[in-house]
Amino acid sequence: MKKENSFHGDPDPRVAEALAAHFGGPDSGGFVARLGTTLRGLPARDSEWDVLATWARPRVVAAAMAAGFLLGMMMWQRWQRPVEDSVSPVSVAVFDTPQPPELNPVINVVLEDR
Amino acid sequence: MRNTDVPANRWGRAAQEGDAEAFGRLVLADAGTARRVAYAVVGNWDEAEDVVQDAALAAWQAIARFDANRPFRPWFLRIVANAALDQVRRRRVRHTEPLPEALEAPGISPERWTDQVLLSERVAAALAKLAERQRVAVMLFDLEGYSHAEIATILGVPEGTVRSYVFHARRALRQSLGSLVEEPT
Repeated sequence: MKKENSFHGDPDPRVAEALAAHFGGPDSGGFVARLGTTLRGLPARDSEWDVLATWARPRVVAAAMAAGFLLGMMMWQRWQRPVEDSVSPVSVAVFDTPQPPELNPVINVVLEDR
Repeated sequence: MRNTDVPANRWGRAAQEGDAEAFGRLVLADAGTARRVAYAVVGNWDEAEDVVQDAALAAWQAIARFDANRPFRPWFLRIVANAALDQVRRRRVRHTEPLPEALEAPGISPERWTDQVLLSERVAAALAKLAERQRVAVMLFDLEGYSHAEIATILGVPEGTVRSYVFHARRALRQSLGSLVEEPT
């Protein structure tokens, strides 16, 4: 029994012959002529800017609409809560004393301990 | 079969800058291989030629993305292979079968022609059992003389996968061909 080529084999001439018989196909002259005609009449190629412009236009509009929506939402929220926004977040307690404290009771307590 | 005389880099740069004539030269230099790659996938010469025409137009529109420091051929053949694979996918969606090719006798003896037709039919039957990428891989490797690395670039798969494609395709071909093609020593 003969071995077949390994994974790293060179092109196999017998397989190549079989493939050549199959891939010879009909005359390619007509095809090459038709392809040549097509290539001589190539359409104008879109420039990168044209491609970018067709891509960008709808996306710019969508981005502008999204930004407008977000801005509107922020303004609406600000308008809904004007009182809360104006209140300071730190609470300050002010204790007013109608008269100064009397020191005598304190002094008496300290002296009694002695 | 490979055309190595094409000053591909010069034409590639010119084509990338919008030179349609340079682009046409590059495509025509690889037209035969492109046609066989497409045929390996779609299995019909008329359809294969349409695929190459469409691929050439697609390549022209995408030429700005071509890296002129690299060879044009693998880039173009990849577009052809992808276009052919898309064509097969569309055909599968439509649930139609490829039409058998009508073979025309070239100017050779009837005996030789009969042998070639028989061989071609055996090869066609063997190739029909393979995946599209396996057919392209074995055709490019054994018929066109491309390296595994080049085929990997064209098919967009790892080199090891290409080796596997070629190995299994060869094995299937040899089994199907039987006595028509002798086993290698």
